[in-house]
Amino acid sequence: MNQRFRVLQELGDQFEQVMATTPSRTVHPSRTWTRFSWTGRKVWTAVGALSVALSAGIVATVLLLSSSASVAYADWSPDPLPASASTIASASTTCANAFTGTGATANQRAFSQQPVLAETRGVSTALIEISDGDLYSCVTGRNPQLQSPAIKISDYGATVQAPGANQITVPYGLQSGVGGGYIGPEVPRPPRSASQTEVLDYLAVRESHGFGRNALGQAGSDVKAVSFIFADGQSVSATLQNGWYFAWWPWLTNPISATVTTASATLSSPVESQGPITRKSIVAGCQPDAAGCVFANTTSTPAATPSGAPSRTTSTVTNAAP
Amino acid sequence: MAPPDAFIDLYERNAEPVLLYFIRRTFDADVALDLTGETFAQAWRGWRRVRLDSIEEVQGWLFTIARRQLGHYLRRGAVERRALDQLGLMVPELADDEIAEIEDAAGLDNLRSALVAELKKLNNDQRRALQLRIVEELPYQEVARQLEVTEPTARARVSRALRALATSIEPEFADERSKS
Repeated sequence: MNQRFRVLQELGDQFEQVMATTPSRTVHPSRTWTRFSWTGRKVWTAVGALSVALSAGIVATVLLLSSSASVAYADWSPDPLPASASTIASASTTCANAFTGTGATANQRAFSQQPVLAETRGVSTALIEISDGDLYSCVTGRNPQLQSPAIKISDYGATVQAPGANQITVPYGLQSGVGGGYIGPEVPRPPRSASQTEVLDYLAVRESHGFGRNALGQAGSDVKAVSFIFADGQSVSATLQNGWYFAWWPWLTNPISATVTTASATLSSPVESQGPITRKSIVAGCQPDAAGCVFANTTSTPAATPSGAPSRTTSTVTNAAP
Repeated sequence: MAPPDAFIDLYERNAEPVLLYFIRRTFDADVALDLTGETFAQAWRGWRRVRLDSIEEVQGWLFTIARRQLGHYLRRGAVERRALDQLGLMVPELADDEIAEIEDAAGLDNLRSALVAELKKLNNDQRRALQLRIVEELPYQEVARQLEVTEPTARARVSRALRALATSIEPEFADERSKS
């Protein structure tokens, strides 16, 4: 987005965020859970019920540094911890009841079972579930009002293949651009306007238009650790469980590289932005399957259909069961 | 459905032209920005039905929405905000220096000069309203106070006066009025 006038720039940024939460054919929140028919196995992700501590006391602990990515978050950690059984149980209940629209029953069913991946970062707990071939993710936190939208990654086009033993897939949540990887409230909320301090202003915008992104994908059998590196040097470690990796971070930029550690080596490969929405869509910066590339041969195709008909995409997930 | 990325491209190419289109017809940067936001919000709501056969067609479609919004504003004296509200979009507030910058980009000073010459075509109420708001650039609150009417009434009076002068301000406006 490059606008001469600040107000148009800010308005455009809002549109980008709105596009991430409410694709034009799912503008109404009650339609967010419409399911899709794919030629392969159905896979969709519902990122639910994220609440990151944005209450006033916690806001006060946030330290703004020089850029949006250079922020210290008191209640978020770049290094995840395993979730205890009681934490998983509590988060599962929250996630199961996080949605009331179409798909609520499927959502409840998904989160009634043991997750394939669970982690905690500060106050948040993330769960990844596979149910009936559908992929669900949910991040819970402190503020129940900050629920994430349903993210249907494959709605935007993705062909997913199993990674090689020492590789990972390009994060599903980020590879497809708009909508992918977004974490935030289902409906953007108006910023607080009265008596805002600079910090409150910053977080109000974040709260209004999404405040995080996630990277979710599959990891090969030899992969021992996955982390993502950002332009300011910040490293975010992913949780690795049952052939899946997951990480989320409370800002809206994409990583510049991914690092994969196996028993014998640590490899790092760049990721690149693509498309007009450069902050949202990433692809492997290396040639997938090339020697030394950490990314499996994963492709992403735009969901454009000149005829105007809703797009249908192919998405298959292998290595899905724990 | 047209690809979502293309909508951002549409916005990048047309946000400023749409904003300037509105300000040259409303003489009000805040209103123009609101109208711009609502236009693109409505465009996004209808984006799935768009065929991307040509950039010109999509731009034409966008400006059809813009004309409709302008017509609504000129009739009602208020900006429709339905799509903005539905999407939860907040139109940013303009600082004074930004208003001046946008007005300069729109060539509003020249338009104001042209407007003065046309004021005599209006009835007293409308002429006074335009004089205060557009020529003297007073805030609506002050316009309303001087006209001894409510602020909404002052806004409506200004917008209707602008509509009455539309063809004089810009010839192509006659088409827009008939379409709106």
